[in-house]
Amino acid sequence: MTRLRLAAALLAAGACVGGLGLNSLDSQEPEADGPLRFTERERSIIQTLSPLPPLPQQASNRWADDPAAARFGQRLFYDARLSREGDRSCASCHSPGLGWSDGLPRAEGRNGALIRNSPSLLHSGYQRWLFWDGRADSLWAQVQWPLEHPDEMGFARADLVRLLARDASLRRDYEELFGPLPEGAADAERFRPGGRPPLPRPSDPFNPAPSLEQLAETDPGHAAWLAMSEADRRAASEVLSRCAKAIEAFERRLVPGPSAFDRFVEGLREDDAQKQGALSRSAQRGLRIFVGKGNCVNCHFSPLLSGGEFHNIGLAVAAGEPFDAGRPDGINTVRVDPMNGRGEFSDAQEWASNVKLRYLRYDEHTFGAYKAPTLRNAAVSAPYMHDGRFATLEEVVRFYVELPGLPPVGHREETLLPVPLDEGEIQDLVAFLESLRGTPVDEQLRRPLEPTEDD
Amino acid sequence: MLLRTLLLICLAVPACGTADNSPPPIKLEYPAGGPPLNEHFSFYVLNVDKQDATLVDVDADMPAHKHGILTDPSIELQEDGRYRVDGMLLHMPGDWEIYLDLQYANGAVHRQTIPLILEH
Ligand code: HEC
Ligand code: HEC
Repeated sequence: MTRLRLAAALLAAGACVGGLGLNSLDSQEPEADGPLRFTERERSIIQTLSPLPPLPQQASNRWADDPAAARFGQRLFYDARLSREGDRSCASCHSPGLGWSDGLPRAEGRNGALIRNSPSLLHSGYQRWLFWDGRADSLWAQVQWPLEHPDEMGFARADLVRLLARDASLRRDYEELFGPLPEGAADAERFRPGGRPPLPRPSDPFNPAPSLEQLAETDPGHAAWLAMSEADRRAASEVLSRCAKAIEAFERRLVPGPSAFDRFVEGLREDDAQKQGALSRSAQRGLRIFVGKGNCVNCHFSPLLSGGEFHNIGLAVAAGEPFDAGRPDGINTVRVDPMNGRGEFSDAQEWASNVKLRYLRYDEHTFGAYKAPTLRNAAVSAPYMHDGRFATLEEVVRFYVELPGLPPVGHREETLLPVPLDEGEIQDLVAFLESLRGTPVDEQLRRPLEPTEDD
Repeated sequence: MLLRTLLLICLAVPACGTADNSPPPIKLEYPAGGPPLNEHFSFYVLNVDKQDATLVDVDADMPAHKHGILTDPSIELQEDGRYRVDGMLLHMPGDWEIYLDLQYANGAVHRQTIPLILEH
């Protein structure tokens, strides 16, 4: 009797050890298909990742949450007349059907591929800084870049003024929101074709920014700007800033509904096994890696799965690719941007309350650093990274497993070490990243808004 | 769950509360709930004046990452002798060190290091 029991116990122990050898994670589990049992520490970290809170306040844009502004912004977003040849709109590179991106490694501009990947606009209302290098401090300050860059839409703020003046329906929407267009808005002698200032550019003794007069010699758009009166230039910039604020109001609505992961976390909080079933066991194992040995939460934390700040993860530059310093350029540029949160077009100019700009520090440690993107909905906006070098989430995960190559500038953050994962674990981590896909945004936002009937 | 309840940290050269006549140790007073993760915050530095010193700089680092903070905090001496530090931003969870540079009457600057573990 006693001997038998002992033998049974030994057998059980043997089985257990065998199980551990095969898959140490599963050995802790009560049953094969129930939820994984997470440790207290894992649970407490996981709960900080969901649910998504309401959007942050946007003090520099008085219209940020105005529904009429969002509708006007939506019209502008899809309107190809906001480009020099009338052939592209914001939606060309941020297409709702392609995860509000373009499916390309690097965006296709007017003169060939740009140097960076088009980020998805989902959750962009949550970002502290915009662009991979954070050179814009708000969604509205961001708009001037694609709109007026000769490689992107090649448009100009003076043309924007005249477009609004001649399109009765756009004009009505604009004036209902912001008051009358500037006097002479339709006059090409005042709002000169192509008229736009140079894009924000820092200047220092070693690398001085050219003056407007110098630029005007080679760029007809800058020459047109130079020929405009001071007052008309200011008026054109104000019109641009307001249209941009309407576009921001639209972009703030691009927030998907809850993901399978969010339902899972709800289940974890409520101890509801059924809700936890929203995540496959593989994705749950991936989650455990994400908050545990993968160390992914060091940078991809909070409900956005990103702190929205900048890190050098050491992506080596491929031969022949242009040099790209990343964050330091962004810091220097956002400071001198006339459309930044303390500029004359901001609705909250007080220096004291703008902690983001006021305390921003230039730091050479940020060479080679790029913004950590949100991982929510990353599953629908391949390819990945600032230069779109990885085609799939699996390739991204394999990068973190091996950390090949060296960064071209700066140094990789020292705690970022290769994450030893076997093939099954790689698939688990990918399954977790896939589970961060939320329900699509409102169908109404996914297409151009038709002008209302009375137009 | 979150270990954010530490309101006062004693940075004791002599242990807190000893009865000799050495000056009281420097203390940091964080906002209620402790230093937040990845949000700008302000805090106070106490007892610097009692050491015949001036607080001249505040910085922070994650020694394991070999990188520091992304902001330049400002320092302001209050009427009650405390220093108010604004614009601190600890942008990642993990092990941080807060540095206080104190300048003494003879001009020498000494750095006091205060460790801080920031949870999720
Ligand atoms: C030619 C393609 C193209 C067009 C057209 C375009 N974008 Fe982009 N967009 C990009 C690229 C590429 C980036 C990243 C650039 C960088 O980080 O330097 C970007 C970045 C952004 C970002 C920053 C997102 C983030 O999370 O940092 C926003 C917001 C954005 N674009 C909105 C717009 C709006 C609004 C328009 C229309 C006014 C527009 N884009 C037109 C390619 C484009
Ligand atoms: C040291 C900070 C850091 C850590 C740790 C980290 N990441 Fe990232 N992650 C970043 C940054 C920064 C980028 C953007 C880099 C770039 O484009 O140059 C990024 C990009 C990504 C992307 C691409 C998203 C997109 O839309 O392009 C994915 C997916 C991702 N990380 C997943 C992970 C996973 C999974 C882990 C854990 C194995 C992890 N990250 C660990 C900072 C980090």
